[in-house]
Amino acid sequence: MFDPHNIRKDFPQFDNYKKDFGASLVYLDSASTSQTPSSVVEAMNNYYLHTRSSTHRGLYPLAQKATALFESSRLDVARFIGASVEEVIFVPSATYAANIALQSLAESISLSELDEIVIADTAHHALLVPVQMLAQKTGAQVRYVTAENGVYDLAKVFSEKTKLVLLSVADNITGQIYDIIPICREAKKKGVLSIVDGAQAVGHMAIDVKDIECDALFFSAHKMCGPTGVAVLYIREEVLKKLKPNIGGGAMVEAVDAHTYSVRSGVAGFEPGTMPIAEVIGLGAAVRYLSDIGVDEIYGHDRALALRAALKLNKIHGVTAYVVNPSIGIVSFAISGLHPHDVGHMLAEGHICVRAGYHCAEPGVRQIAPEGVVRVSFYLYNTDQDVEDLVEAVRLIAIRANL
Amino acid sequence: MQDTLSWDHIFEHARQPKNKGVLTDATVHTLVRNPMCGDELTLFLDTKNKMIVGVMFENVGCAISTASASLVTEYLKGKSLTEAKLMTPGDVYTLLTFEITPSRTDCALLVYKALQESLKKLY
Repeated sequence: MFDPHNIRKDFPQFDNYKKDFGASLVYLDSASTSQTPSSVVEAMNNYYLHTRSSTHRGLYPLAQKATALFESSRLDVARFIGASVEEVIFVPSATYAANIALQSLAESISLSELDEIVIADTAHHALLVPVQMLAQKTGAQVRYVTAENGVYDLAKVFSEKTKLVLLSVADNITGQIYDIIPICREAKKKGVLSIVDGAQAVGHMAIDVKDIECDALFFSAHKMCGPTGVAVLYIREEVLKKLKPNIGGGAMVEAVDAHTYSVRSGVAGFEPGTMPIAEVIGLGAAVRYLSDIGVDEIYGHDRALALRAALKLNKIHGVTAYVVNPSIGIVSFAISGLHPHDVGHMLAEGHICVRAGYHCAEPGVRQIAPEGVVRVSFYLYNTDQDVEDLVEAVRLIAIRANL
Repeated sequence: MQDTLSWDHIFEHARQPKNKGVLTDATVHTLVRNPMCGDELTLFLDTKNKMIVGVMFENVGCAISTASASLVTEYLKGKSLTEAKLMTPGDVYTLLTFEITPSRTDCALLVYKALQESLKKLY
């Protein structure tokens, strides 16, 4: 039985906050970064204290144990998203994943000024900025597509020049879950490569990359109860075979002499140098933690809290909360006459943690509110009390500001 | 919440800021922006014989950046350029009489940033 009050006990930060600050932590910023359960921290500590060794290199039992832990995380992650282990690459961050996915995929098709990249107009800067960099470098055209209530008009997405399409599963501002499956499937039929930003979605709703049929998908550990410093880049096996790594180093080569090198096949070619071993192990623990609870349960919980919050916020005079369906559990709102920064600041004084501004998605936010929005995000450890505390605080802020 | 008097003070200046508007034929004007939050401000300075004879600002931004601009421009009226150059971030915080945490320093100092850049242009 899903009980967020019990779940909270797995996250020491809440009790620690009370001890450190003498107040209850109302953490509503999981869309920036999530809280970490003790099992994840323990798994990482266990590596550092009991299995501290390199991976894939040592001949001794300690190294073999570390390697086994590392690779079993890869298996956990692969299962979590419906992929095979041959398709899961560990990278330092989702932004890093976006950059190398774009570069490698673009290179594999010799992207040029004759080609077009299609990207959602609400894209996060993690995709938007490298896309612009790529366009500047190759001369490729960039075209934006807009969704209506989460749905893209298939006829408007593709042109004969489209070679790459970039979408998000869920919007980091409105929480809108986009219907990307039809686009990815159509892309596959047309031989267009698709890259999907799963950063807000993985660990918050069930994701199956074979169902989505995208060519690449990325997400970060720290947004799904895992540690910072590691993320996952999924690349479909048939596509991965055609890619060349752009970052060279040890561990990703078969053989090197003074003039040549040969790259290891598969995911190994994309994991140069020493990996963030503790973090990968921590990510595996996070995946197991969430799987035990059930991602579908988490999804139902988050979206219910988001909807309740949005409806109650909208009843406050001067407050506009953006309601979307289906929602990943994020709600953005604005208070008329008050800048989002000031709202966020005043909420912070009441120990309520939200994010305010453009949320690394400036073009997307400006479509809703030129000055930015306040964003609230719910996750498995949030409760009805959090909603009540938020709504009451916003009500007082709106009154204080004489609305 | 912080002492309500403090927020009142901020809102008073943010709602009806002093010296808001365009100063045509200003000796110098500078546009500054906070990339993280998108607050924007243009500071206009009119100077004569190394004295500030006119100061105004135009902005789009939060209450703290607006209040700060209102208070700082009010302070700058009639000051010499030397006195303006001697102004420090601490002076801005004192004018605000509001606890500025690290996350709000860029907002509070936006007008100060504009002032520094304007003064550079004058010397």
